[in-house]
Amino acid sequence: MTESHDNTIDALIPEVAAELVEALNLDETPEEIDPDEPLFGDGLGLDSIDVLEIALVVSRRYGLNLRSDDDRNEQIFASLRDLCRFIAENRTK
Amino acid sequence: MSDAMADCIPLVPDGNLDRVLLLDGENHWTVADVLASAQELQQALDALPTPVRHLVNLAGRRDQFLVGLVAGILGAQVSLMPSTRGRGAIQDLLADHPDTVILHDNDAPLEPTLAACGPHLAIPPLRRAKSQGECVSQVPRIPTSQLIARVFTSGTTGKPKGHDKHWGRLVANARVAADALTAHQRITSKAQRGPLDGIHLLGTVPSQHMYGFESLILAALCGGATLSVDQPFFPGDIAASLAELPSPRMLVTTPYHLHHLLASECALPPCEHILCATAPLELTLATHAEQTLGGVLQEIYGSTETGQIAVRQPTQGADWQLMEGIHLEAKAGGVVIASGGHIEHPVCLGDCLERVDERHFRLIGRLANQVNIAGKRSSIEYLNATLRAIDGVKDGFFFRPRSTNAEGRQPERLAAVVCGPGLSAESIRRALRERLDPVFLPRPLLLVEQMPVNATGKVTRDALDALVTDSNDSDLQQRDAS
Repeated sequence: MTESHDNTIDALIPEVAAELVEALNLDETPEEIDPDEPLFGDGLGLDSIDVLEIALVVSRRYGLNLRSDDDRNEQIFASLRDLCRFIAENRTK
Repeated sequence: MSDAMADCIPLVPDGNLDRVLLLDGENHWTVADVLASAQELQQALDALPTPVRHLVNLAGRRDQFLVGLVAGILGAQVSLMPSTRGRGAIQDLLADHPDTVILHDNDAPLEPTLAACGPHLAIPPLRRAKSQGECVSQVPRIPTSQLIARVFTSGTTGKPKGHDKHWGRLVANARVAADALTAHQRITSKAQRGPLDGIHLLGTVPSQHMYGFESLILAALCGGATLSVDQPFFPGDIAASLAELPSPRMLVTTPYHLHHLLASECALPPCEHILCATAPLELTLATHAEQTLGGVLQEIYGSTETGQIAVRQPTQGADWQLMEGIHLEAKAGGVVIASGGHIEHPVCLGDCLERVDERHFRLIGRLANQVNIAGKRSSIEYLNATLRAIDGVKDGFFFRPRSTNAEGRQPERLAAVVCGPGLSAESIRRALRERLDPVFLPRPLLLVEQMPVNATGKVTRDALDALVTDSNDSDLQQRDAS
């Protein structure tokens, strides 16, 4: 990965964190979300309902349509940083 | 026909082994194929050292679920259908039904936490029935009194409550629902094969929940429809699965999924029928769906306890029409009892209804203690009992916060206030996740040293609400102790 690529991801993190907090009505503030913490299970504790909300945010704001048969899904939703990496690499707007 | 036979109904209405039941892309699977695979599973169950009387069918794929269900029907084993697959919920179920085997999809191992709960078997993949009746010569006839499934809902005591479903009532349920859905375009010549003959179903709801069980599994088995094996999740998946199905199509979904599908602006093929249930659908969404998909949107009213009992097309009118044989009776205090037809026992409905006439009613809203989040139902009593059963929790309350954000963003989560000295919010969430569907996990979860009580020693909704509002205003760092 190039340095500029990592910078792009770092720049996306606060923006996507704010989107998640708003869309999912989370207890945390955007700054409180650890970008490397798991989004599901014992991390942020998101569920499948949240995934649909995230998919909507991602499609509207970044022009990306998620699919279940994408083998990368587990990787995409592993953490906030992974989600931002996916957005940075695939966004159409 | 002997007397004993008169009390039996065949597994599929026309007894036709060659009818296509399932579609998996280019693959068409017939009644005979499903029966052959179900027999294979039944033999595997038979070979187990102790007799099996119950199955917990956790299959995600429709074909796998159907094979598990039919195997159970052939072997007179009852399919237990829990409302969540949390480890605690499954453990409780197995403790109450010790002669149970867990069934799961064959393309992935069962999660280790569930595999540790008890005996489990992978459902065999569908295979072609050998030609001309080597193993399947005819469609079996099933006694109407046979117990097929026990479907669980939240009780009020902290323990899920099972609702027994017998074959005769299930078939009647599927038939009257299919009749109600096709009333505007009935083709009598097809009636023998089932009113939904020729319709291709795609569902976004699980097979194990009553709505999916009735509108997908039973609609295919008893209603004559052909079912896609997919259970698409993302809007892009739904669009792709729909496009793969031949016309006419029926999308079986919820207001929640429909909202996301339309909001995603995915390109969608025409869909002649849209079926919606589990939560009231807004008229604007119904109108939008009919315009976008070019079909008729029908809404089903029902519950796990009653099965499906009424239907309406929201764009044509707000009133619900009761299905054949169903009666409503208004009791004191706004309680409405549903009975008759395929309903197993008279049931007190969880909603506030207003009767318009003998056959029609209007839905006013849900009763105060009922919750519905993204189409999943529970009651405040049940959630509270589950919360208070956690080790270390002294007291706790779930409630619907008033101060949720203004746009009515869905789904609105519940809040909880908990007094549990030494416990962290995270440990409480983890314990709740074992027994509750994740949609019911509280957001926010506030830890307090003492419950706010009023002058008479009671905890009031206003006091709980004030806590949430106060904590929103205070330093967020202090809110979540975990």
